Amino acid sequence: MDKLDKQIADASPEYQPNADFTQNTMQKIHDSQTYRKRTWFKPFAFSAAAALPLLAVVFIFAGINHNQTQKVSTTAKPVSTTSQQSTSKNVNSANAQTANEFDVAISQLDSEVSNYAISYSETSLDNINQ
Amino acid sequence: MQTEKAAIQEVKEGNSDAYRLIVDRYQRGLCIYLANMLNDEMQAEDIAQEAFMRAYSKINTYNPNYAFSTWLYRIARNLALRDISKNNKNIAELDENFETKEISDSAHEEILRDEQKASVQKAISRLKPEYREVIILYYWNNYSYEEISQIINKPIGTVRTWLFRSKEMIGKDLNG
Repeated sequence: MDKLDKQIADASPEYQPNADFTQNTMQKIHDSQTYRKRTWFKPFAFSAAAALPLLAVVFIFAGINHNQTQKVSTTAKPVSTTSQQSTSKNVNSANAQTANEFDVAISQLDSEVSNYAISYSETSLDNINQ
Repeated sequence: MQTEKAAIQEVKEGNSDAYRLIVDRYQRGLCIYLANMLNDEMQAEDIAQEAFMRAYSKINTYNPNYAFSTWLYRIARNLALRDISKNNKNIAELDENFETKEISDSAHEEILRDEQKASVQKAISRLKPEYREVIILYYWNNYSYEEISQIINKPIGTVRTWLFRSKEMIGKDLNG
């Protein structure tokens, strides 16, 4: 090292950073760690908060669907094709039976009416006057 | 006494207090280096603190095959350059009066020594920023050519050339 090298090296400033530099730096590092821990938790807290209303909506829809299913089951139960066919046959025979009974009733009513007509003619004013 | 490598390993494993050794070891040199770049001691301390914090938060990305100090100085250098460009300071037009206030008048010899020191400091402050930077890293922070080339991201040959030229300029300034 020549003379100039020594002169330059000796010209290093008598500078000392703030006495609290290390302490302040370490404090900032600890603070940033605490902040990072909190920010690490934030997304989870946020997603939980966002999920609550969503879950509420899902439960409401699930409840409505459940009620509707129950209502439908009281009015119409699912049946197989064969049972549907037998049911329709039963209905047809029942209808035929009802039609026969209806015909009998009508004819009975006709006869009663005709009897009534006769009796009416018998009780007409002409007959009374006579 | 704890070595730097052991301290870094401890920090990586989550013991943040081990980082105190790193801060203690490099704070002065880093602040001097930054104060010369920024020409502002307070600002230099702020940037140095930020550099220490950045290095701490990115400690897991540090490659132990390289010296920790060069990595730290490189982070600090980037922060300082960003600060310079943000504040629109022209690095070549920085004030030349950095750190000449430590002159004592207690003894004639001491006055002469301090005057000589101030002259050298003035000569350094008149250098181009890249020349000044390599002088400070080489003479005041005791870094090798290789380490300086890693910090400033230039080939070793460039570092050697800049050091030679800057020394020449300082010599002319002192003799002129």
